[in-house]
Amino acid sequence: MGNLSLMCLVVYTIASGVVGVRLLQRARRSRGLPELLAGTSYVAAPALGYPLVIVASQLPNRAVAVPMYIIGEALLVFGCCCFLFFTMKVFRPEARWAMWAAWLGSAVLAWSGIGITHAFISYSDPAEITAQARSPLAGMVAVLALSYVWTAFEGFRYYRMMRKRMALGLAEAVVTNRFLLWTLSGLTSVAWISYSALALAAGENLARNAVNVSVTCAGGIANTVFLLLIFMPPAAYSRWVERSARAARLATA
Amino acid sequence: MASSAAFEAVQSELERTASMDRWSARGAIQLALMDAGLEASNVTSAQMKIVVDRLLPKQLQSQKVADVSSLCERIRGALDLLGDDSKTESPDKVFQRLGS
Repeated sequence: MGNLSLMCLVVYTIASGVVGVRLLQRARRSRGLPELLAGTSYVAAPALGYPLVIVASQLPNRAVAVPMYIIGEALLVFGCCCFLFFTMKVFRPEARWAMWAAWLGSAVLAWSGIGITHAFISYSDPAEITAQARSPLAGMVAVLALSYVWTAFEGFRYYRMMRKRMALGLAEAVVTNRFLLWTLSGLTSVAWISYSALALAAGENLARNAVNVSVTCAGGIANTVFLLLIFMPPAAYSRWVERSARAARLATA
Repeated sequence: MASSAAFEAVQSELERTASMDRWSARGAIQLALMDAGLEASNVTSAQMKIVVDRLLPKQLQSQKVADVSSLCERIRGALDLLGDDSKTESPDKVFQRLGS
């Protein structure tokens, strides 16, 4: 059962890595800050940080596990901070509250990362680590859930605006669709994180319970699909979106 | 939040030609922009021309502005003088680039 959820997470990790590297290559060409932030976020958090933390926590050799965990946690936190700044920079570049929200979220993430790492360094027993890391972990989960709520909100707000623009011929169907996918990706992450947090708080083992495994799998696979359709859409998908938009226009004309 | 050059141009044209006060002019443009799904901070002159053609006349008529069609013609003329340089990059431009 645990193997299935692990496999889904590996797929998500690989997809995030591919998308992240592609965005970083694009950032090098365009010198654009949004692609740099998104690319760094996907490479640092789901592609490198998360797997390093998972692997380190399974290693019996502490001399290897501790430095690996520290690097993984630092990358995870840095990637999540980049994601907050991506949302701020793209959707609210001139709003002071958004800048404060991104900085405040980053501060809580950094504090959580230090707390979780401190627990891992101080204790070797998993039960003790979990008990010591409870508060910082709660802080991290709360900020992550809020950041994805923000992502989904901004995505949906912009999707509605783009639909109005499409009616005036001011927006492309494919770009409009990307905002819908961005919203769905944010909602999937909120659901996934919230469920995992509740399950962990209830003392459940995420790798053994069938429902937990299914949720983790569905979340990982759904996010992989959304990432690929947003950042590396196949030509057939783009054609389908354009055809659907044309058909909808003809139906309402 | 700062408005784009296109927004400012339409506002000053409404104030100057239609004798609207600052807040009535901004309100009329804002409502038209909302109907178009556009934002004052990054609307370009090309987008604003479509708004002036398709949506702004309705807002001006509701405010009992006289000779709306010739006013809109003058606004289009003012927009022609502007380049398409909004100060901030809009999210749709970013998402267009990220997925291409």
